[in-house]
Amino acid sequence: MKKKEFKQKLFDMYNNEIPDQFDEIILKCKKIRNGRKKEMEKKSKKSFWGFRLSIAVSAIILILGISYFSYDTNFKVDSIIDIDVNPSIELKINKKDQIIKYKALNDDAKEILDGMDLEKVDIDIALNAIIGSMVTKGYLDDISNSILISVDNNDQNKAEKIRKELVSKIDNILNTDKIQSSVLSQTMSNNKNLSEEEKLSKDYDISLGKAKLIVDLTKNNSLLKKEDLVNLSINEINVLAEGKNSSLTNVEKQGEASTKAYIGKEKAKDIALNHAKVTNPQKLEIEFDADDGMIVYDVEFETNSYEYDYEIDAVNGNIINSKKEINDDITTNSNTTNNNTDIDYDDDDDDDYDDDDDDYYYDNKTTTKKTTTTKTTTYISSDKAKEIALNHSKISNPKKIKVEFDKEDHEYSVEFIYEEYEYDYEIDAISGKIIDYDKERIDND
Amino acid sequence: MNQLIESSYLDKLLIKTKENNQEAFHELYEILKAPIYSYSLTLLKNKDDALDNIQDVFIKIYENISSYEPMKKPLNWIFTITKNLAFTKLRKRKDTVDIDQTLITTKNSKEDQIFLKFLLKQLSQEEQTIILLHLLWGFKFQEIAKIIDSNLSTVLSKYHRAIKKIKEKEEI
Repeated sequence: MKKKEFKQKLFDMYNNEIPDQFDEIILKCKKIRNGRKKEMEKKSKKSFWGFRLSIAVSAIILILGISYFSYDTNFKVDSIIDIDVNPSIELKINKKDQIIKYKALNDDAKEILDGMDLEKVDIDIALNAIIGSMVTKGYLDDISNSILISVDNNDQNKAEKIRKELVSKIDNILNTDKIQSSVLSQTMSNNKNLSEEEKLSKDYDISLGKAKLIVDLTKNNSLLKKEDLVNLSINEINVLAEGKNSSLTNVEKQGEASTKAYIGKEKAKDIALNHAKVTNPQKLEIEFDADDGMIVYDVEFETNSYEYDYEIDAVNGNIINSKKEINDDITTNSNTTNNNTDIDYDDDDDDDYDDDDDDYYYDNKTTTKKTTTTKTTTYISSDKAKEIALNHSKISNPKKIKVEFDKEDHEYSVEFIYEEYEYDYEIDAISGKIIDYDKERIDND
Repeated sequence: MNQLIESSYLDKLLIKTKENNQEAFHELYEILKAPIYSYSLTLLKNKDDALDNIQDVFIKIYENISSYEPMKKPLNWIFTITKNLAFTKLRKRKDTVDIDQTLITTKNSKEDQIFLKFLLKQLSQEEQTIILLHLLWGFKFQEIAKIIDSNLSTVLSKYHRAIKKIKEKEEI
């Protein structure tokens, strides 16, 4: 079966597994749209009646003045506060520090806010209820002790004042529960240009505060990727920031992130060394890293002959990735280009080495290397591909031979005709191995 | 036809969807449901969760469509949404699932059901990912290497090894 046919077969097989859900999706989307519409209508209704009212009330300006004062104090949003642990909650408060609106930004937050009515409640009381619920429901404990508070207010001084008060209150609440907390806090008033943060917040459905923390951390550490961090809890992000020694420039921090959920650097080191069968490593470095939404230990070390790089799941100690390369420092110090034998372990095998006798990639594969980190791929020539196909078919004088290089798949396709047969070869352009071949009788019909 | 997964075409459909064109949204669904489902199934190992993920991905696309601007890589955008929503589900789920009980279908032949089970059980998660991202999503091997944080030669090697296993199974 040809690649195209196989693609189609795969596509059809998966499609056959899926019942038609489109009507259901459209219904849900319409519900969302109607919800938004209603909200808009509510707003425009309010403004319509507000207009009528303004005509009527123009006669009684004094009362309007009083009404406005009351609105400004009681109903106008003065600050927006994001609370992130893994549950993410947004609170909008008025000048009297009472909650006007509140929103669960993810499903975990819905669980926290379930059954709570926080409207017109003082921020102190609301905070107590929210943090209390997070402790009770296991989101804040000795294993995961980090919380992020982000305060958005046009007045920087006011934002700073609220931030300090909230940090102090949270610290008190958690001390009562005997939890050594790590409170990260930031203000967002001075950051006029938050377009990157707003986009991240929108794309991944996270709070603006968490988006700002992630942008801040990735700016200070180019090796971290935003998309790897969006699904992490604040404690996991906090652990990473500490491990990478990345100063979070715009974040105040109180207390250390808990690492009790993790196996520890020593254990991670042992796992890597045992796996590599190395007893005396040189230049050993271990630090936390994020990979596909999980926290890992990145363990790097060298021997006289090899450089090793391991990624170990920080929670259960499973080896996620392992790499072993010839140690260039030993074999060459000055050459910028050299031939290097690369061995990539198979993550799924227990014994690391790929035992398949068919697997050409693991057998002293030669690649060209400009530096120890940048590799360029070398391909066999089209003549070589042709030679491989002809040798295999034991044909020396074919008709209509056609050789094509598929850059995307890194393959050569070699087609030719001999007597009443058409031959079709797919050859790996790196190793020269025959991936597939086909011999079909030419149909004259 | 999954050959239609081309950035420019996806872009067109997304822009039409933004203009409230339900037909375009439907077409988008028809083109992408198999890639989204297959990758979700690889991660979640549960048919119901993977089906839910299709719905969640399209709702997320719909919710964010008003801010959609034509961009170079709409497929990457949709893939990232798929991956993140699946990871959110994984984080919430504590129990493990037996894959044998998750593939119950009425439309596929018995042989095809066996084949899909084979894909999910006999190929490693990485091999499944590489096969699906290349064949159904249309990602290039270089892009896959970036996605799974590996290098090109490893990805190619695993791809060819997986294809070999499939061929042995299917005799294709």
